[in-house]
Amino acid sequence: MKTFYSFFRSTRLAIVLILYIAAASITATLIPQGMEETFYLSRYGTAATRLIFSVGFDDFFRSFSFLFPAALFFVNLTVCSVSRLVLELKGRRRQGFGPDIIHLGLLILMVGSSMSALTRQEVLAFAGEGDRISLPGGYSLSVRSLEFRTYPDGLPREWVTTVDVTGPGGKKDPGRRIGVNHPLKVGGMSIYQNSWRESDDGAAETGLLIKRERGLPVILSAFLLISIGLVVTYLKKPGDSRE
Amino acid sequence: MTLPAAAMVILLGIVVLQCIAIFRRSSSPDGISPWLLLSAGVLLLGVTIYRSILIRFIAVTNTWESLIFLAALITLVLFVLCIRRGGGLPPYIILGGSLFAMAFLALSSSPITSPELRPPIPALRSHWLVLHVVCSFIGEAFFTVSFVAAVVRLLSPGDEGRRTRAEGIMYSAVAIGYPFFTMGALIFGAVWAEYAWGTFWSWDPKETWALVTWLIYTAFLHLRHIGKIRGILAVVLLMVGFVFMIFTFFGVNFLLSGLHSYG
Repeated sequence: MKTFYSFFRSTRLAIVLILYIAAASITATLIPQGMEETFYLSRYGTAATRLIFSVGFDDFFRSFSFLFPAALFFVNLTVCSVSRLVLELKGRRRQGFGPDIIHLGLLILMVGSSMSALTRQEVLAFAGEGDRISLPGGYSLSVRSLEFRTYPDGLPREWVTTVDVTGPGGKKDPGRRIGVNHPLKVGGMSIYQNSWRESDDGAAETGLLIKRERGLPVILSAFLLISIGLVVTYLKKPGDSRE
Repeated sequence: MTLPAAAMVILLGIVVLQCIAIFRRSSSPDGISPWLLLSAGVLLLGVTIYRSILIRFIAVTNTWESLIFLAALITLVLFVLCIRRGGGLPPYIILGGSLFAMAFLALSSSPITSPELRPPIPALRSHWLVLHVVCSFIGEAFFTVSFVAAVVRLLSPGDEGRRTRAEGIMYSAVAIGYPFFTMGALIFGAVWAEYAWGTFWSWDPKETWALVTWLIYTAFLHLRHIGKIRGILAVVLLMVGFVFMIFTFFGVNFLLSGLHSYG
């Protein structure tokens, strides 16, 4: 138990894991991710492809090579944070709690990201004016109008889809606008203005990305916590925080 | 004369002043360099403000605008650090930082980028995007100064005083830049991505390299915390971090493919 604790208590472990994840992530950007085996075979040859697949570098961020060190980091950070807290409560450390807020935020971020990754569902639906899209939970969208706004020189400025939402039990919410960077939230789902195309007969079609996941509020809380922690650690008294 | 050209002239003047100070081995900082830095920074910020008014959006959404803005921030960061430290910044640091500002300015008038006035495409029309760029760049300006300090530290093995001062600046520049970079590059970037595409993070090359850059500076700060950051290791980490930062900014756009080819 003691060796478990001292192994996971060490900042040195954190630094090793950080540097490993950095190096491995770099490698993952240099090898195209998520491709078919034939792609790697033609590009790298048989031996290299076998190596790539055996260590999971074809889909690195979902592989053991990433997830296991990330899990180790999670345990490491938890043990460090608890240990710091205990020392603080015992009065044996008085170095400010800014980093602890950052670390807590980071832990919550990892939890939220895992929740999000595990529960994410999405679908891309194309629809023209007048079309109806059925959504889970008894919701549906009726596409009222499609608007493509341009700048004076004709380049795209905005794509907006206006929909009438019908909820379960027939509850109506008409005239809701979905634009790029302005998603619509409906019944636990988020709907994004994702793409635009013209169908064969010249009519405009909007591509709406419909997404559902759990973890969004957790992730946002984590971001807030990390931001607060950063300000407290580094910006409250700039330059002289020894942390 | 255009605003960027005027700033370039001022920066040249600052470089000359630092060279004179170094040659003369002056111990006291000249009183004029900080104000020249401020002038150059204000002129360059003026470019950003002027363009923002013209396109009705904060002008930080393409390569040209980014380079001007980064050069502005470097000069302003140098100014702030000069004022903060009672004795000003050592001439080598001002020299190095100004050279970087000049380099980014020079890049802006190179063929890789165009000053053509273009308001942003729909995906970039977001307050979060603006926060993302502005805060990242503030962080990156500080990281640039820390890189300069690391170079000075590397090239001063004999001079104890210069070494110590360089190490102090290496750390304080990272300490101020880190929160800005973390919030800008990672947090605001992720929030923007969520609003624009429905996903906080997709491990695309630019995002991944930004994270890698962040990890290097995180490692630096933690090594320092446990007291394991003697001399050359600190220098190496900051140099690697800076190279990765530059690669994230430019290299990814031009050498790797993904979502992020805006600027």
